[in-house]
Amino acid sequence: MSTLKNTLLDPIFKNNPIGLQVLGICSALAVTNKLETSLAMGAAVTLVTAFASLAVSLIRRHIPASIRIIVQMTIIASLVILADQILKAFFFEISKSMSVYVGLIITNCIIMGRAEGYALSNTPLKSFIDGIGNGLGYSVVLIFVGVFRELLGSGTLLGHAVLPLTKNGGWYQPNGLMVLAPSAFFLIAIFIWVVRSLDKSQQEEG
Amino acid sequence: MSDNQSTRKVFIVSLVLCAVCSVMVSVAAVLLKPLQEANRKLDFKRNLLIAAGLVDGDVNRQSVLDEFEKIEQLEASTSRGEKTVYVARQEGQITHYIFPVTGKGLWSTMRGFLALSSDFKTVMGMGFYEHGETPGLGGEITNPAWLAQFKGKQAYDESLNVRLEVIKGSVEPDSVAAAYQVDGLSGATLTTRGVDDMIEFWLSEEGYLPFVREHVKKGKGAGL
Repeated sequence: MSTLKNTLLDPIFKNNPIGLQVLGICSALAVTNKLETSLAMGAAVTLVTAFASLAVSLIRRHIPASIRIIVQMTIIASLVILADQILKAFFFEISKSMSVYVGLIITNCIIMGRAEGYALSNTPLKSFIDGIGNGLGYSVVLIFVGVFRELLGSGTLLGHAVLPLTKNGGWYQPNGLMVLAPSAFFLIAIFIWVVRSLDKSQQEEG
Repeated sequence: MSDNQSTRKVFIVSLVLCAVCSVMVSVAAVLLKPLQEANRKLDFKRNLLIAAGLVDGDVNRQSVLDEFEKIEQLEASTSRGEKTVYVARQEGQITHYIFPVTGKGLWSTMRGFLALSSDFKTVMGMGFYEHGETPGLGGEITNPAWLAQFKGKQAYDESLNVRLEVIKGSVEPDSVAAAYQVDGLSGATLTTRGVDDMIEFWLSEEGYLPFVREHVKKGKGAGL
């Protein structure tokens, strides 16, 4: 059981897909200007990664090596369409604010990476847990970036005013950079810096 | 494992996989369609009411439906075909004409509403319900603070020439044109220009001007 637990928890800090492997950066820049979309994106990616890994692992003995990438893509693409449809049906507002980025989950390297790198050679249960773990690792970074970008860029958290803005008579002048994608680069870099300072084993040799 | 590589196996695996995936996707699409359609309609109505300033931004589902019930719909023929104009009344008197407008922004087609007063001179509100402009830059067209500027501006002058415009930079508050002008969005020149073109098009002869003229006459005839 401890190995399953490690499979779940390792990707969150020790082997974070964004922090250590620097995968899935594109969507981490795109949808993190509000915490709400970060949460929705994290949840969508976690579910897609988990079920894609599960499906790939279930049929791993039957996937011909020559078409394995296409097989994985097909599974991932179908799951992403499902996620998109479900968001549109039950969380319309969120799906509207995430616009094309839901569809772009397909191109998220983490999902493909876990299917190719883990699920193809591990049992379904382990692959599923690994998918959840990596999805959570991705979500942690998205939430970290989302909290700072929304708080500093719009003075709100989940849409509730936290820092009163000067234009509404408060004291906080919002930082316009935080609304734009480049700020996510700085925040992800800070995240990686902090994690690697705490856990020296993640540092690369210079 | 070796027979995994045979052409036969490749075909079987890909066919079965595709069949399973397409069934899954189609079932989901068909089952969820009514819900999605309902969401889209509700979103349209909600944005229409918000754009006209008839409800607040955090309005709930039921009051959207209730408020929308009271809105009348009229036909207007434009160069882009028949359009529906929405009319809001208060105690029998027309208060708002709400015109659906569409235009090209930088990346996408922007869809929204422009609401005018009963004499078509004063802008009652403006809003967008669909666009794909850059979040934080052109995407600010949905920012209530920016949209609030439209309220109270003049759309036409006395002889029904289109005067409302979104300019680059800030409006000079003392200038004669201030009553017709709205500040552009900084960092979003092309989106701003798109909004400006959109307004000009839909208020002109090719857009709703024939409708406006007809209803101004009617309004005068009824002694308004």
